[in-house]
Amino acid sequence: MLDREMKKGSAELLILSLVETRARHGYEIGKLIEARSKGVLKFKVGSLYPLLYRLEKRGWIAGHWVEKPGEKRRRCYKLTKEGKRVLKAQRSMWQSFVVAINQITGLENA
Amino acid sequence: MPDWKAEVRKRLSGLQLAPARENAIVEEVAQHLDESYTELLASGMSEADAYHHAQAELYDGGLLMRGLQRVERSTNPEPIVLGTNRRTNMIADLWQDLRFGARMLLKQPGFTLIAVLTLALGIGANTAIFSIVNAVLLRPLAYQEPARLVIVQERGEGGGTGFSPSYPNFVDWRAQQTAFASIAAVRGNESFNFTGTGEPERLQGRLVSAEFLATLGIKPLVGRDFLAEEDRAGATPTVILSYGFWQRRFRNDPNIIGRQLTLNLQSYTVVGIMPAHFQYGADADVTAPFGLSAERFKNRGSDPGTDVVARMKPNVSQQQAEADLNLVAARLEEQYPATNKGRRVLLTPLHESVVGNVRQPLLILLGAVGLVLLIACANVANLLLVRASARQKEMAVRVALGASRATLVRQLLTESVLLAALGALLGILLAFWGTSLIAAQLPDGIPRLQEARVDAPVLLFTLTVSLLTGLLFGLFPALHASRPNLTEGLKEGERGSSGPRQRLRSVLVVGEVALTLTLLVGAGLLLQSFRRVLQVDTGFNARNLLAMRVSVRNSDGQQVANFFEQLQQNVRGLPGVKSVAVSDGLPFGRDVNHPTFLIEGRPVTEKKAFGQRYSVSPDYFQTMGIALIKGRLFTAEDNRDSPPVIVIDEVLARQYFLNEDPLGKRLKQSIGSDTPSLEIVGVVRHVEPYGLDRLEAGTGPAQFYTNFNQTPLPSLSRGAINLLTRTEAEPLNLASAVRGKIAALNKDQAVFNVRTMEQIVAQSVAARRFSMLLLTVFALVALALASLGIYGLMSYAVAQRSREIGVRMALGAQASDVLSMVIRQGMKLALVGVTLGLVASLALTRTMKNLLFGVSATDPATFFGIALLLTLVALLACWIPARRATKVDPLVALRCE
Repeated sequence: MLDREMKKGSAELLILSLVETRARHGYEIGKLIEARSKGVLKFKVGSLYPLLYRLEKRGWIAGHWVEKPGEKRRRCYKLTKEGKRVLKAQRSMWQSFVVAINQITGLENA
Repeated sequence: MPDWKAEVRKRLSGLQLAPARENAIVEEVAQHLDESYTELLASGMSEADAYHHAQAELYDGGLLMRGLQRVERSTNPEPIVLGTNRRTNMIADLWQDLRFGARMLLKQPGFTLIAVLTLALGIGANTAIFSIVNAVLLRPLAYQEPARLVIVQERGEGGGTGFSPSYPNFVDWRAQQTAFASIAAVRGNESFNFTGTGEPERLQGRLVSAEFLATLGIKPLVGRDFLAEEDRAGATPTVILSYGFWQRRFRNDPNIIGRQLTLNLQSYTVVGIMPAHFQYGADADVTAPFGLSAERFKNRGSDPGTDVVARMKPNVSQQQAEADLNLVAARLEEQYPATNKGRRVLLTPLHESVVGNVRQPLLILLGAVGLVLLIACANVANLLLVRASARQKEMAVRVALGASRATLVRQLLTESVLLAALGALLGILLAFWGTSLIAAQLPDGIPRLQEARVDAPVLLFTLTVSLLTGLLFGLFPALHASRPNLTEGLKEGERGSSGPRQRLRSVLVVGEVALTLTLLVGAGLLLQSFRRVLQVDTGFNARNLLAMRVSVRNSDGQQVANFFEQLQQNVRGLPGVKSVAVSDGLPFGRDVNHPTFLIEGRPVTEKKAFGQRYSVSPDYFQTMGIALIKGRLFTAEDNRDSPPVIVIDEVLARQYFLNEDPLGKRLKQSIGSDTPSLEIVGVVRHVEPYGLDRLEAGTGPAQFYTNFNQTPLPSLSRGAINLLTRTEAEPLNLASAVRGKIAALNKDQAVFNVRTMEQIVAQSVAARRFSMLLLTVFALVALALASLGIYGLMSYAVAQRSREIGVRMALGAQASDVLSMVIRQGMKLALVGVTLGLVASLALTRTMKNLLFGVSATDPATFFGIALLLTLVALLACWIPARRATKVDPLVALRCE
């Protein structure tokens, strides 16, 4: 069971990672997380959107409406410069965290 | 397809988001649910199940709502709840008020400019005068614990004013007193000839007893203080240099300590340097021990100008110290009955003795600028009242929308304080400039003036004054404006009767007129005094007369006499010179002797006769333009071998030879029994002795003149002689030629104080001229403000009454009727103001009695003249709007309503 803060912190990391290479809309992000974690992680509307808005407000991601012919317009999110910096830092922090946990729990040698 | 947008919007309604933001979120989230729903359908779920599934995700225990609330809260502005005035955030309110106030002021730049300028004038003048008052009167003296310092003088048994004690009395006081931590003698205005190093220079000097600096609590910057053994006759001469002299002549060389300087042909060892800002009495380049000259001051009976300054012991009051020293004085009286009979001491706080003379004029000026500021406030208040009428509708709208009276008052006061702050800002700039301007204009002799500057206490004063000002002129208009008449205010085009407002404005104008009259009367009295002063007959002709002082350093009286005889001859030969003379003293100078004298054949009375004695060359009377009344003047035949003669003035003749002819009588200076008796050969006009405004007419001391060529003076071996040159044209043009003649005779001869006699006369009234000019300027500013006030009020009244005037004219009123109606209305106010002002002036001018000369504080001519002047100005200020009223076209006036 992941603790609240960790859940929040990791959720941020996940979203930032997903919008790093290309802009994605909210539904797509939710689906990707669910698919790539093979259903272990799941975002609901009520937690995904407030989180997106918070990241946007911090200036880590930028959302804009994209219109394609024949489709409804969607709001897509893209990593900002500041977001890239934060992602890099969070990523390395997360990695050293994982390494540390692994070293202690002995999973590495299992 | 379910209407997800409606579902989402319903969920979000409690958040009160900005509409645009809400729409964006609704669209995005609804789309998500759409896609989720579609996907669930595609996976084979029934429509109902898919709907419930998606809806559950949206609801989910209010997760979205809570999450959004947290994220969106800070961008969400406070809800505006109409109809309440709950104070939520004072700073934010103030900021809002300020911004709103600034916008309102910018909207009417004309009004703002006039108000700010008016206030800047008032606040600036107050700041400038206060900075001078602060420096001169309020700041403590720059000595250690200055409150314990007192000046000790002698006085007669019955009281009266004090005078300087003699040096021997001081020495006995010092030895016997117990109330003072230390007591010191000081004598300024001594002079030293500095020779031997570069150009000879005449130095200002000061003699002090060894305790002087310690008494003040001052330590030399470099070197040491005098030692007690250096302060007695026959000691090795030592000297302490002033910082300025050290800087000027020795470029701050610290190795000067221990070096020898030649002063008055004697070698002095430099022992110390004064601190840079040290000041006491007259400036002095060098300070030397008093005791070295003890021989010069050995006469216990005469008062050679020795000041005594003392530091009282802690916990000793001035009364105790005075009583203690009086015991010593009583002992001295027993010991030396001939000289010390009835002599007692008088203690004055040092601060009082330094600033006592200038306190009153400065306080009067401060009071005057205070009145100017009050008038400025009244004017700005009037402007605000006019504006309040114009803003009546705005106020009514705001009250209708639920603004409370307090909110409106707060807003209006913020505006007026903002105005005052702007005025203060500009005023401080004015004061920076004004302080240096006024300080430069101020005559010499005002102590501590160089310390005047706009500093922290002055700025604090300005801040307080401007805040008070803002509240003062803003409060009444704000209280009035915030009580708008709703029904009238909201009606378009209705002017509103605004009766109370008009009454308040009338009161303000009456007050302005009254204050202005007071200021004008004060200035008028000073002007009158100044005119009287300038009319004083000096008894001599100051025009085209050059004076300079030539120092004398030669104990051989004959050599001195020969030098000056030769010098006079040489100068007389210069082109443009009419006549030349020398004298030991000059009228208005401080260097004239006041010896006692006896008239031969008269019994010696208890009260000794004394007079001013001038030792002059034969051409002195002609050169000075002093008229002969009777007998003859000195001639070339009066010399050392002929019988000594004397010329007296008309006052001496009147006082001592009322019913007899003074010519041929003999007069003897009583100091020293070996002085020769002198035959009176002539009577000349009396000469004003101390300055144009120092004495009431006819109260000057008797004067007599001895012949420079006949009676060698003891003072000739010391001090300086005045060389007077009467010229045909501008005297200063000849100054360098005359100096050249002196240098040609003796190149080491120091010459100083080169000026014209007219400058000397002007200097003697400089202080009077200054306070007169300043008060006049303030009074004229007040007059301008007050007439603007009347003009503004009447213009407004005429504009308001244009319909009434139109009706009157339509009914047959003539232009002259209208004219007199308007003028009557305005003049009624002006005359009430003038009457009140006259009463106030009667009370206030009494305080300036001491500043007046030859005119009484209630001079009817001045009072009447000023009242008339102000009435005429008020009449003019009413007449312009009144004429405008007569131009009202009845048709236009009636139609425009």
